[in-house]
Amino acid sequence: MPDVLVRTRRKPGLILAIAVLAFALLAAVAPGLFTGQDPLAGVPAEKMRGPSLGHLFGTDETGRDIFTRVVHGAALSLQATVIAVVVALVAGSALGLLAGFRGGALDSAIMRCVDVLLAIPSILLSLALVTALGFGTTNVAIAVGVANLAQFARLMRAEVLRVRSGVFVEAARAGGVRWTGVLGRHVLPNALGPVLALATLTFGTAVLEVSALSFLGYGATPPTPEWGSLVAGGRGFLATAWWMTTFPGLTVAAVVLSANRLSRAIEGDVR
Amino acid sequence: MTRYLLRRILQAVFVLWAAFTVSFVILYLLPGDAVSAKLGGGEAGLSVTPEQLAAAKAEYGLDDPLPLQYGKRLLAALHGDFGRSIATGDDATNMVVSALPPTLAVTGFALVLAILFGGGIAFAGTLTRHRWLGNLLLALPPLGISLPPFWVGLLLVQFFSFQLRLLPALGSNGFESLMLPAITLAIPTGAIIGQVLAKSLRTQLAEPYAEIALAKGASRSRVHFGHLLRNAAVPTLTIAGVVAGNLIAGSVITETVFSRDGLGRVTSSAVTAQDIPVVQAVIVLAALVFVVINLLVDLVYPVLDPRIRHRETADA
Amino acid sequence: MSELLTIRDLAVSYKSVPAVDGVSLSVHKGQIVAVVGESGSGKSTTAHAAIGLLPRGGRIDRGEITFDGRDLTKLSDRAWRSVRGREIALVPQDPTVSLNPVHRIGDQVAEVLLIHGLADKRSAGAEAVKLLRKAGIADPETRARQYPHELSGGLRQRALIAAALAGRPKLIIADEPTSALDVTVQRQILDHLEELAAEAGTAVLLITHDLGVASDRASRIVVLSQGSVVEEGTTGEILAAPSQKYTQDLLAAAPSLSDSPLREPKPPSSDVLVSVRGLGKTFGTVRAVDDVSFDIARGRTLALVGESGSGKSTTARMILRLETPTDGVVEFDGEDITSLRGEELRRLRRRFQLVYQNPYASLNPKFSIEDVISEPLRAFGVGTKAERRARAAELVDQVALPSSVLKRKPAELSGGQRQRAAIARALALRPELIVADEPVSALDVSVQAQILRLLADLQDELGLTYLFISHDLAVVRQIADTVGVLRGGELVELGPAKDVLERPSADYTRELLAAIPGRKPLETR
Repeated sequence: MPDVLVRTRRKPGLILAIAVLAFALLAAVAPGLFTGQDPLAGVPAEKMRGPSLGHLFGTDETGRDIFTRVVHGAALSLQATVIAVVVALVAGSALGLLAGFRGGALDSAIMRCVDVLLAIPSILLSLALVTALGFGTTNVAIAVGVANLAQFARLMRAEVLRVRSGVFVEAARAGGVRWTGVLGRHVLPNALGPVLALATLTFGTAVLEVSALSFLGYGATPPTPEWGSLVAGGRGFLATAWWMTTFPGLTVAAVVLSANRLSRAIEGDVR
Repeated sequence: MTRYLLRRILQAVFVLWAAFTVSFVILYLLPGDAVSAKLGGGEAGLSVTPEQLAAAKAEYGLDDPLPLQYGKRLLAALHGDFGRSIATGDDATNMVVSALPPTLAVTGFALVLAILFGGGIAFAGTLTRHRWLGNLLLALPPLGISLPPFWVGLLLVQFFSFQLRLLPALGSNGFESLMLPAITLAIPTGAIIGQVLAKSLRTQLAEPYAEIALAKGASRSRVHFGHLLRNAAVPTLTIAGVVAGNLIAGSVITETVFSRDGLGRVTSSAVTAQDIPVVQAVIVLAALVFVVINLLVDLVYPVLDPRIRHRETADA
Repeated sequence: MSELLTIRDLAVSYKSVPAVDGVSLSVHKGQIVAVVGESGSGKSTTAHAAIGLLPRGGRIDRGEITFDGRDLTKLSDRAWRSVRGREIALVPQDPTVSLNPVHRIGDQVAEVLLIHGLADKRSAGAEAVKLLRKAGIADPETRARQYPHELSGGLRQRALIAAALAGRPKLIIADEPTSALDVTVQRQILDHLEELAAEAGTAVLLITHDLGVASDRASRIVVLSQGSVVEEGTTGEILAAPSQKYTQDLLAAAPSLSDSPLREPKPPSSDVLVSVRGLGKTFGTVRAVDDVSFDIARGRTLALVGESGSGKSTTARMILRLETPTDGVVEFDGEDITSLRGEELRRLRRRFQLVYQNPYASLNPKFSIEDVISEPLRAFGVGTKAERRARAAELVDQVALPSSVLKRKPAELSGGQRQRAAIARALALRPELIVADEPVSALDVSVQAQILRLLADLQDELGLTYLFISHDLAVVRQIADTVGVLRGGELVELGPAKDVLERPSADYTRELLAAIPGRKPLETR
C-alpha cells in the first residue's frame, strides 16, 4: 500500500480517486460530518428546488435535501458493497487457493463449479438470490458477493499456479522448505497484489450491481435512502427536476470510476 | 477435431445441467415461500387456511421431497418445461420465449453498436501516432464501464426525449424506440469490448513479429489490420459469452427504464412476485445463450489460430 | 566512396536516460562489421536506430546516420517505409517470436516483395519459395505453406533471413541472429548468412555479445561499452593487439577465445559421491533420458554438456530428486535415493543443493537477500535468528559480495550479484554436492569469468563436488575435470576433460567443438 501512495506524486487522477473514495467511506460511517439536515423528513416549503448553496443537490418532491439523502445513502450502499466484496474475496480466494494448491480432481471439481457461476450473468444470479431470500440490503449484498466470487477463485488459482511453478519456489523446495512454508512465505505474499487489485475493481462493480438492484426496487424499502433507489425516485420528475436523478447517479459513477482508477494503480504497482 | 468439439459440447451440457441445479438450489432450497407470498399477499394480509396453502403447494409440486422435486423438474426441463408461473399461471417457458423477440431486437442492435464503437476506439486509440489522442480515446472504455446503465438511460431520455424531442422515451414501437435502449446497453458493452481489444492489440504490438513487420517496410495500418488484428481477436473472443450474458442482464434494467416489453420486464416482474419457475427459466436460458455463444467461439478459434487447429487435430 | 552506412556521434536516450552517447562507426559496401558489447552497452540501440525502429520512449538526441548519401535521422515515416526491407533489412534475435504465428511462412517472405512492389500477388508466392530455397531450407514448397510453429528454431531463422534478403537490401542488420539457437545450428546459420551476403554484395552490421562470433565473421570489430565506442579496428588488430583495457579484459574473459582453462583438471579419484546407473526418464511419449550412467567423485567437477533437448537438465534434476527417475538408480554417498520421498528426502536435501540459470527467477523478488540466503537454514531449523543472520553475513563474504547487499532486494542487484547470492544460498547448509544448471549462461561474458572463478575457488576451499550443466563447451573447458556429452537423452561420450575436449571419440562431440565460435586461426582474417 505505501508504494501506491508514493506513486501519487505527479498523478492528479489517482489522488482525486483516492479522495473520492475516502469521502464516500467517511460519509458512510459518519454522515453527520457532511450534513446536518434530515434525510427522512422533508420541508414541504422547499420542495422541487434546484441546486443552490443551501441545497447542493437540490430537493425532492417532499422537500428533502438530496445531498443529505445521498450522504446517508452512502451508508447502506457502501455497507452492502463492502459485504459483497468481502464475501466474494474470502469465499472465492479460499476456493481458488484450494484448487490451485491441491490440484487434481479437487481442482477440476472446484473449477467446474466456478465455470457455472461465470455462465450465469451476475445480475441474474443476484436476482435469483433476492427472489429466494427476499428483498433488503443484506440479501442484495450477499447476492452480489456470491455472483462475483468466481473471478476471485479464478485469479487466486492462477496466481497460486503461477507462483508454484516459479523457479524460486522450486529453489525453496530444493532448499528444504516444506509446502506450508512455501504457501505462507512465497505464494501468498506474491499473490496478494493482484488479488488486492481485483478486490478494488470488484468494489466498483459491486457498487454498480448493488445500486442497480436497489434501483429496481429490491433493496431497502423507502424512505430509507440508497443510491439506486434515489435515482429511481427521480424517474417521475425527469422533465421537471433533473437534479433528482442526476446527482445520485453522478455519485455512483464517481465512486465506481475512482475504484477503477485505484485498481489500475495497484495493478501497475504490482506488475 | 471432432474430439475437440465433442469435449466442448460435453462441457456445455455440463454447464447447462449445473446452471439448472444451482438455480434449483437457490430458488427451491432457500427459505422463502412464494406460494404463501402469492396467496398471503404480505401486507394485504389475506388469511389463508393451512388446507388451502397445502393444496396450492401440491398444485405446484412443492410438497414433494426435495430430491424427488429435483428429479421431476430436471426431467421436465429436458423437455423445455419449467412449470407454471406462480403469478400468472401461464407456462413459464412460453412466457420467457415469447418475450424474447423485442429483447433480441434491442440487444442485437446494441451489440452492433458496441462492436463498432468499442472496436473503433480500440483500433483508433492504438493506431494513431499522436499519443494524446490515443490516451484520450483509450480513457473512454474505463469511463463507459463505470457509468451506471440505469442512470445513463434516464439521462438519455431526459436529453433526447424531453429536451430535444428526437426520440421516444418509452414503449416498444418502431425503430426509434430501439435507439435509446440500445445505446444505453451499448455503452458498457462497447466499453468492455474496447478495453479487452485495446489490451490485446497493445500486447500484440509489443511482440517482436510486429517490429519485424515494420522492418519489412510495412505501414502502421498494414501491421495493425494485416498482422495484429487476427492475433488480437483470439483473446478478445474469450469474452463473447460474458458479453452476451451482460446484454441479457442489462435488458432487465433497460426495459424497466424505458418501459419496454421483453425478457427483462418478465424477469423483474417475476422477481418481485417471487415467481420461481419463471426466474429459473430465465437463468437456464441465459446459461444456454452463454454456452451456445462459447461453442460458436470455440468453433472459430481453430480457424483463426493454426496452432490450435494443429494441436487439436494431433489429438484426434 | 564505398561507405554505405556512416554513424557519426550518435546519442540515443530512453525517457531521458542515455543509452548511447557518442557512437561513430561505418560500414562499407559488402563489408561485415561486428558491434560487440555486453548488456547495456548500447549495441542493440545503435542497431535499432539505424533502421529507425527505436522502441517507445527512445529518441535520437544528436548525431547523424548517413546511409547511401541520405541522413536517416531526418527521414519521415513514409520515407522510412521505402528504406526498410528494401535498402536496410533486419534479422532479429529470437526466431520463435519474430514470425507472425497465424501467417504462413511463404506469405511472410512474400510480404516484403508485395510491400515494395517487387512482385505481384501471383508471382510473389513462387519468388518466396525460391528465396526459402536459397536460404537453405529443404523442400521449400512444403515449408512455405506451413506455419511458424511447425518449423524448428533453425528453420525459422532461415525463413527470417530469406525475408531479409527478399528486398535485395544493401545492408542487413543482424541483431544477435544466433543467440537463441543451439550451437551447432548457430554455425550453419552464420555460414549461410555470410555466403549469401557475399554473393549479393550485401553489407552486414552484426550485433553480438560474443567476441568469438565477431572474430569468425567480421572484418572489422567495434567494441561498445556503456553507450560509447571503446575501441575499433580490423579483426586482426583487435585480436592481436587490443589497446584498451576493456577490450583486453573482454578477450581474456571470452571462453571461446582463451586457450587455457581456469585451472588444470584434477586427476581422477575413486572416492565416489554420486553414482548413476542406467538412469532413464520418460515424459508421456518422449524419452528424455535413456540409459545414462556415470560417477562423480568427491571434490571433482563433472560437466554434462548438450544442446537443448539433450536431457542434461532432466538428468541433473533426477539426481537432486526434483524428478523421479523412470528407470535406473541414483546413489548418493552409497545410499540408494532413487525412490526416496517425503520427509526422508527433505532431510537429505541438506547435502545437495542447486544453483539455477536464471538468477532473477530463482530468488523470490519480495525477499531481502538476507532472507533468501538464510531460508534453507530456517527450513531446517538451524540456529537461532541471530546465528542465522551471522551465517548469512559469513556466506555473503564468502561469495565476495559487500555486506550492504543483505538488506537489498534481488531487483536492486546486477545479474552477477544475484547469482552470487544464489550460490551463497546453496552453500548455507554446507552441502557436499552442488548442481549448477547453466549457472553462467544468462550472464555477461566478463561476469561469467568471475563466477566461474568463484566456483573454482569455493571448490578448493570447501571441498565441494560439482555437477555442472552447460550447453557451452567453451565454458565447460574452464572448469571441468570430467566431461559427459549428451545427445537426445543418451550419453555419447564420457571421460576426463582433456581427453574429451582435445581427442574426442564421438562425432557429435567433434561437431560441438567445431561449432565453438572463435576457433578460426587468426591468419585467415
